[in-house]
Amino acid sequence: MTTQTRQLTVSHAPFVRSGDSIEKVMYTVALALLPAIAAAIYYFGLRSLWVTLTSVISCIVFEFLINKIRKKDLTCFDGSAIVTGLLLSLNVPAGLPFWMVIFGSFAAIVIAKELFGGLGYNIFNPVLVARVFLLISFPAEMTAWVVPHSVDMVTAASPLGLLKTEGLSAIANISYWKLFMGEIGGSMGETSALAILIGALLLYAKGYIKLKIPLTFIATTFLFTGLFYLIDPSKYASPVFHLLSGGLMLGAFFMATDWVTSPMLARGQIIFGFGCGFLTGIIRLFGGYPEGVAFSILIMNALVPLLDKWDLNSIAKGRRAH
Amino acid sequence: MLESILIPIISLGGIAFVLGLCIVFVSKKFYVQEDPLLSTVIDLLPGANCGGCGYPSCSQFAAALVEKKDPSMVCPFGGPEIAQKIGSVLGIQMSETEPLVCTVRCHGTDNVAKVTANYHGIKDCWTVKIAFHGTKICPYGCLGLGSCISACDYGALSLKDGIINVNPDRCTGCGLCVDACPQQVLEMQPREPWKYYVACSSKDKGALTMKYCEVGCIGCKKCEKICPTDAIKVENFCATIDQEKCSACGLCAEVCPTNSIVLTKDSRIIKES
Amino acid sequence: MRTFKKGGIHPPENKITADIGIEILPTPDIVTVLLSQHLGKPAKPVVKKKQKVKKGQLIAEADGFISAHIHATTSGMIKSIDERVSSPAGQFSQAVVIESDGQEEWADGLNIDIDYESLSREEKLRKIQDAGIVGMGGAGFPAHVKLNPPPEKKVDTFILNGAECEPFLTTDHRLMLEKPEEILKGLDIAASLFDKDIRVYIGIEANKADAIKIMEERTQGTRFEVVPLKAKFPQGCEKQLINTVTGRVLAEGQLPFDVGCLVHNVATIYAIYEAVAKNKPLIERVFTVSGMEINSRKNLRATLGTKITDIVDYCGGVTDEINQVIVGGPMMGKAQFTFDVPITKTTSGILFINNRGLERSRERACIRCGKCVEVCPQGLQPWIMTDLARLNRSELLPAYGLNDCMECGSCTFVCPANRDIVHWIKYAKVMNTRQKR
Repeated sequence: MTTQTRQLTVSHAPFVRSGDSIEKVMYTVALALLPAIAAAIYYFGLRSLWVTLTSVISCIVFEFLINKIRKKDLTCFDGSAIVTGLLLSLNVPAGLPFWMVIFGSFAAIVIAKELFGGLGYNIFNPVLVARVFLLISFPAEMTAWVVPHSVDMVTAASPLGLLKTEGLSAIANISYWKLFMGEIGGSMGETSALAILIGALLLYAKGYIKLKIPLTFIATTFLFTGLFYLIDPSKYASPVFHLLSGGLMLGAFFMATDWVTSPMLARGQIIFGFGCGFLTGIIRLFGGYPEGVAFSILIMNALVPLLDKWDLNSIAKGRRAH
Repeated sequence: MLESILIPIISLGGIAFVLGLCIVFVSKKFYVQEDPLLSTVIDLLPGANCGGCGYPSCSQFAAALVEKKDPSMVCPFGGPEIAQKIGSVLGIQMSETEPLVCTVRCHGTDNVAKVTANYHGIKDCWTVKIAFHGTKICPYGCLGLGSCISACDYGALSLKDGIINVNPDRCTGCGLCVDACPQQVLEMQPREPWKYYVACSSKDKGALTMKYCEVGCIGCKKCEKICPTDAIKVENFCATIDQEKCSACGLCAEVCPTNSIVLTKDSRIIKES
Repeated sequence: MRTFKKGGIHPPENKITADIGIEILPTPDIVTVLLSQHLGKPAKPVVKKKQKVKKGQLIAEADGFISAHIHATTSGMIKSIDERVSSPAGQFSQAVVIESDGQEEWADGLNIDIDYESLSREEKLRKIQDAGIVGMGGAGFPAHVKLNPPPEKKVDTFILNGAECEPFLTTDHRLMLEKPEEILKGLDIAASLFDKDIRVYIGIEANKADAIKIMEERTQGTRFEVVPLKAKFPQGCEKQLINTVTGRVLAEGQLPFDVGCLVHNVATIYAIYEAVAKNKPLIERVFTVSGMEINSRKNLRATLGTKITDIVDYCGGVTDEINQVIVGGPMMGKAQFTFDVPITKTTSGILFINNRGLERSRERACIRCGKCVEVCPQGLQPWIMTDLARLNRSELLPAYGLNDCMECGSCTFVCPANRDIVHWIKYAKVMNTRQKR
């Protein structure tokens, strides 16, 4: 072909890209969740794998259906539905009936994400909306924590549950090592702090995590529970116990850091992390529920647009001052 | 038992009554005196809030009208009828205006206008103009990406075969689309009686225009010569028809070698080549 | 190694032509000299059709204060003065088409040795103006205006911009390696227009170690200081260069002379030397031909007005996979709609590429990852500016620093949602300057 007949394409600069894409990011996050999934299978048995697969597949199917109904290009394979599915499974007990898992996927994808406009438009973390939706609808099944290594999916209260209903004496014998490794009752992904930290490290290495959020979240929870522990160690559990139990690790590193539902700028992120930590402390120590991470993150999600607006206004004001 | 029903009824009813009294008091004390003239004018206006008058809403336009009593402030959508009614209410003689319709000074559809390069990017006429002059070789014509469609509040514009089409039944003549076009190919022309206009904006020499568009004006002046009312002028190799002088005889459209001249009612090509 | 504080990215350097010496492309039979090759009003033609012209003769006069002269780039006959010629900017310009007579005969008084050191400041500026020199790094701002700031703006620092941070481009690199003498003399001339104790720096990115070495050797014992710069895009943008070399920061709306600085590109300084020391107007330039879809990659010196078609023929043609021709670099250049376009004073490179990104999916919603904020060298908020521009609220953008955006493209480079951020920002700028009814 000569230059006379060749047709060129005009686009706008820049003509190179870093190669990052939604797919790449999502599949990396999915990879970062593999240690937690492996831990779940190890502690709670093969059923964990089926729960995960059910969750992932139903998330993809629901997003596919919504894409078709809205007559838009398919987004169900961009990886975000897969990540939602993985995280949702990590937030439920390993023994949850499969139809409830599918219900949860519906709440996450259809109600919390697609009805708001799809990826990028949702205000609330879809996985947490689903978790809370399931918790309130099926309180018994959603707190039937499987005992690790149990043969018949025997269930028992989690450490936090024991703390709330029976007090400090009930958790006195649980070692920090067990809490850290995950050999305790809880949802599939929240028990093993180790598995979560490995995943979080991968995200940090790739630059895919808003680090200020988990750091302030965890620090605030530590300080809040630590304060009350100092005041009365016979009534309140130690802050280390609080860090390693319940959904704090999972929530701080994988749920509160969800890009779409967290603040864009530094000051907002710090306030967000602080708010999450503070509310988690209040609910755990003084609230009716034994665990407060999911609720605290959802409440702070509602404040994110305001936090962003405040940061932007400060920026605009700072520019005017020059 | 009766107690447990009576107490809520009395307490809630009492609260409601007291609040009701407060509302009555507040509505009387803080009543805003509104100019009755203003509400009459607002009622006369179409209430479409299209912005064609240059004001964001009909109520703001009405407020400005009542304040300025400027006879040139005519609602383009409402037209002369409404202008007259408003004029009589305000006690002034509103200016004469005629109903307008949007016309597209280009009909270089995909099959007649040659294309230069492909475009990949934001599908908007202004954004394509930032990247380059447009996908058609002709740099004067309609870019076919529909920025004007978003500007039209009445859904009168649509894309067909790469060119904008006007639905004259929906067009209100508000004129908002004119500024939305980076090529300035949209022109407001008077409505009935339907006359002729030149659907081309190309200022290139005829030989060049012919190379890249089958229906472009080549500035041959055949129309100028044949027009019985002297309504046509060819400037910069492009003909323009003065709507006031045009007698709608259609001779220009007959004689045009490239079918550039069309009726303002629709831009259908008059004669098949 | 010094670098600028905020943001920046590391696109693949692709300096494929770094070791290829400058080759001279013979003047073609026809040259198309555009009358708009600079910022400001196009020049007005002062020649007629069929007129015979000599090389370097003035063929169009600057129109106004911000404008530049245009000269015949070869000797021959004026074939035509065309109204609507495709320009590398994607629009059209008036042009003078010259049919070369093959003699390359210079006009009287041009291309001779001048004893420039005895010239006064005004005379030197006059020569630079007469030669039609403009910023050759891409901006095209008239050099004689830039070198003559208002008297109240005291310039104490002159920076030679040898950063060349765009991938692929190696023009300035080769010029520094092959013509260091002339460049330093040109720098001397430029610096002599200011106070004797002006600080003069030569900023060169670390990926041009051989150029740094040569410049360091040649500036031993002189008042010029070579400053190696960390290779990071957009190091070559004025604001970032000034910040790296001097630590000074330009506020929105400020120009370099507002902080006492002046920056010039290597090719421009070379042209200034030729103008003042040899009475040579700007009629040719060096540029890089690169990209995977051209059969041979080179650094060429060619006459202005040479068409890209001529250059493609000289370089052995293009491949079948080509889908874009870029004038400039891949970050801030312009995609061409035709090969039939001439090179101008600001053509620093021509890239022939197969941009696979064109097949990529459409823009997605902003996923609020914050990468654009991280990489913006001006510390702006590209995410909110894009959203507001899309929603037709462009009037809100200046509050967030719209006019501080240099359109470097770092934000768009990193965006995982494939948003066309720079294009939207350009759109917002256009929307804001439009006349509203």
